[in-house]
Amino acid sequence: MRAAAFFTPWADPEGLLVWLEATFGLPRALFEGHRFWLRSDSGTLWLADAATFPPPGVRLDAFGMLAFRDPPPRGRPTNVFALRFGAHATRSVLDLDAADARRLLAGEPVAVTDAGEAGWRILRGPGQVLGMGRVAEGALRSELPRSWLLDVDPATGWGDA
Amino acid sequence: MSVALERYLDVVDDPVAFLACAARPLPRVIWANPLRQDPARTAEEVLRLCPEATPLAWRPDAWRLPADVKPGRWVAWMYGLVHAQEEASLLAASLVGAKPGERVLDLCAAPGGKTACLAVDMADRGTLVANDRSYGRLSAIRRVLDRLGVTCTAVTCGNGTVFPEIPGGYDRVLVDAPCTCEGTSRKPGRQHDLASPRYRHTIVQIQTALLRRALRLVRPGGRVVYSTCTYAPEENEGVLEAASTEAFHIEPVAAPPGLRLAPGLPAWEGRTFRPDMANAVRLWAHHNDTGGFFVAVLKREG
Repeated sequence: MRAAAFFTPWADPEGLLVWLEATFGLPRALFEGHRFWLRSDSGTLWLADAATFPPPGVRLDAFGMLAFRDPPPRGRPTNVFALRFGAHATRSVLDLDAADARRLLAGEPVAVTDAGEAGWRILRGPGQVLGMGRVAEGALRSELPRSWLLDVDPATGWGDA
Repeated sequence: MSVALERYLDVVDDPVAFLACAARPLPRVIWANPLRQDPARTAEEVLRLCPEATPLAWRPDAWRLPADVKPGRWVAWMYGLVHAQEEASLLAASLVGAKPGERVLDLCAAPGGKTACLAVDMADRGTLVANDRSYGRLSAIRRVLDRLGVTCTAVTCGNGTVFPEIPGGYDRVLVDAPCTCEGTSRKPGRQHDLASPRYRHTIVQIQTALLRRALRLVRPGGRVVYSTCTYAPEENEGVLEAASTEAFHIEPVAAPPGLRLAPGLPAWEGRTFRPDMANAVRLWAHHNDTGGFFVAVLKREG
C-alpha cells in the first residue's frame, strides 16, 4: 500500500501549455477549463477540471486524469491524455488507415513511410485517437499499454473501412 | 433455486415468475459515453456490432444486448465509447441527478460503474469524490474513469462512516452500500445461500452508519440516494428507519418510461416503517428483467 499522497497545483502551467502547443499543436484554449496538478510522492502530473478540489482529511489516490508520468520535455503525455485531447493535435501526429489501426491493436508491427524525425507521436485511426507512439530509427513503436490489448478484438473496429 | 430468495415469496406479487427470472442470466446493458463522442455516432457503431441491441425506453443512449454478446472485446469498449452497467444500477445512479459543477460524493464507489454514470451526468465538470474503504478496489474505479476519459474525480480511500465533511457540504451523496447482494443472483456464479443472521446484523450496522454519515455530509436541502443490490428489508427499509434520527424525508420517484417500480414495504417481520417508505423503490428482477435492487431518494431537511 502506498503512503498518502497530496496534490498541489503545478507550478509552471504556462511552460506546459507552450510545450503542448509546440509539440502537438494542441491549442491552449483546449485546457482553459482544466488545471494541472503535481502529485507529491511520485512527481506525476495530473489534469483535473478547474472546479475539482481535493477533498481534505482523506487519503487521495487519484486526482483527475494522469497526464504525464514524467513532466515534459523528458516525459510524454499518457495514453489517456492522448485519447481525450489527441483529436485536436496538428503536429507530431500519425494518421493510420483502418488496416494499420487493427494491426496496432493486434500488437503487430506497423510500417510507416515518411515517419519523420524521431520522437513522440499521437496515433490516430479513422475517426478515433488510438494512443501514443514513438518514432525511432525510422520505425514506429507502439506506446499503448499492453493491458489494453489483452481483451480487445481488433476485427470489431472500423467496420466500414 | 436460490435459498436466499425464498423468504420473499410472501411479499412478491408473482413468486413463480420471480424465482424463474432470478435463475435466468442477466441481459447486458451498455451506454454511450458522451465525453468521447456524440452518442448518435456511438449508436451507429453499437448497432453495427450488435444489430439486436435495443435502446432503453427511459434512456435512449443505452442499449440492452443479448446475454451472450461480449462488448468488453469491442474496440469501441477499449476506447471508452461505451460502458456496461446493469440497468437497475444505471437507474440508481441516474436518480442521484448529478449536475455539471456540483459537488458530489460517491461514498462506496468501487468498482466505479455508478461513479462513471455520475461523471457523465456532470458533463465532467465539478467535483466528484469517488471513495472506497478498500484500497485494492480503487484501481478498478481508476480503470473505468481512465477508459472513459473523466477528469472531474478525486479517488479516495477512506472509511465512509467517518468520511470528513467539507465546508458547505456536498450537493449530492450516493450511498451504494455493501450488502448481501441477493439481487445479483442473475450474474454468473452469484447464487447465494441465505445470509447468516450474524452477517446480516453486521452489515446492517455498517449500512446504517454509512447512511447517517451521508446525511451529515450533504448540505441541508441536498440529496442522498441510498441503494443496495439486495431485496432484504432489514438492509433497506430497516436501515432507512434506523437512520431516522437524522432529519430527512423520502422523495417520490416517478417511474421512468418502460420501467415498473414497486414501493418500499410498509412493514416486515412485525416491524412497521415510516409512512414515506412507500416512496422508496424496490426493483424485483421479474418486473423489468433486471437484477434486484432497492433505491431511496432522500432529501436532507433543516
